[in-house]
Order: sequence, then C-alpha cells, then structure tokens
Amino acid sequence: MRWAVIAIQQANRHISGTEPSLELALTGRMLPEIEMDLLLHLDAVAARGGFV
Amino acid sequence: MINDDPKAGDLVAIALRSFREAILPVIPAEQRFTALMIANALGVAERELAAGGKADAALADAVGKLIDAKGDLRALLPRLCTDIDVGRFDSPERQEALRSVLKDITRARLAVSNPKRLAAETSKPETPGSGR
Repeated sequence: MRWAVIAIQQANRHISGTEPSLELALTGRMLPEIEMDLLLHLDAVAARGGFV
Repeated sequence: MINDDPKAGDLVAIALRSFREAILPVIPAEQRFTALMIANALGVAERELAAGGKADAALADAVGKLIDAKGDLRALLPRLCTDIDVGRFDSPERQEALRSVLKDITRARLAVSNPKRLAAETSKPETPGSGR
C-alpha cells in the first residue's frame, strides 16, 4: 500500500507540472503491478479466513 | 485534419522500433537508463493507443453490476469508491466479488503498462479461494 501511495505521489509531481520527469511519469504506470500484488495478497488473506 | 495517416499509433510504433534498432545499441552507457525509459514510455503509449479503451465497455458493465448502476467506467469508478467507503463491500462474499472485478480492471491496465507481468500473472494458478 505504501508503494502504491508513493507511485501516485511521484506521478503527480510530473502530472502537476511542478517536476516534469520521465522517471516520475513511468513510476505512475507501475501502479497496476502494485495493485495486482495487493489484490493477490487480499485473496490469500481471504483464503485464510480474513483479517481475524 | 487533412492527412492523419499514418495514425498516431503507427507513428509511435515505428518510432519505437527505430529507436530500439538504430539508437539503443549505440547509446553510451551513462545514457542507457534514460534511453530504456524512453523505449518503455513509447511502448506504453503504443499499447494504449492500440487498446483504445476497447476493454472499457465490458469493465463498465462489470462495475455497473457490482453497484447496480449504469454508465461509463469513468463515471462508475468514483461511485464504486463511495460504495466501498460506506461499507457496501464489507461482507466476505461482496469482497470476493469486488476483488474479482478489481482484478479484471487491473489486468486491463497491466496489458498496457506491463504485458510481461500480465503474462506471468495469467500463467500462474489462481490462489485457492480467490473465486476466479
């Protein structure tokens, strides 16, 4: 989750125009990978019976 | 526009191919990271232009069924977020249905941003209990 927030923040630094950067822009496009990791983790948690 | 051929996607595709074949091999080592980022960005742009939002209608349909609403994906996603916020997906069954749709959306985005990861994803067996 922290990595996803960082990726959004870095992409926004590019998108806002405050710091145009190819590296920051591409970091924003890493979000789907992080989100898929998160969803698979939630699947695994659910398979173990949830957050209890 | 009088002359819009070749299309933007074709231009990006040939630019990327030319960059990979003619420029990347002779890039000095200290510029290689930037050059690879350029190739990556062009690849993402090429795939996004090729996809052209073709998956959006099916995804909007899936999201619409989840929240009992109709509309395009851009309009439905904020409503889905609101429904999650107010607890409409708190039960295990609803969470499973939600994760299934979120994975479909994420797979469509991975197809543009990182198709290698998507291929690795689809070749793996699903986690038991994931509902897919």
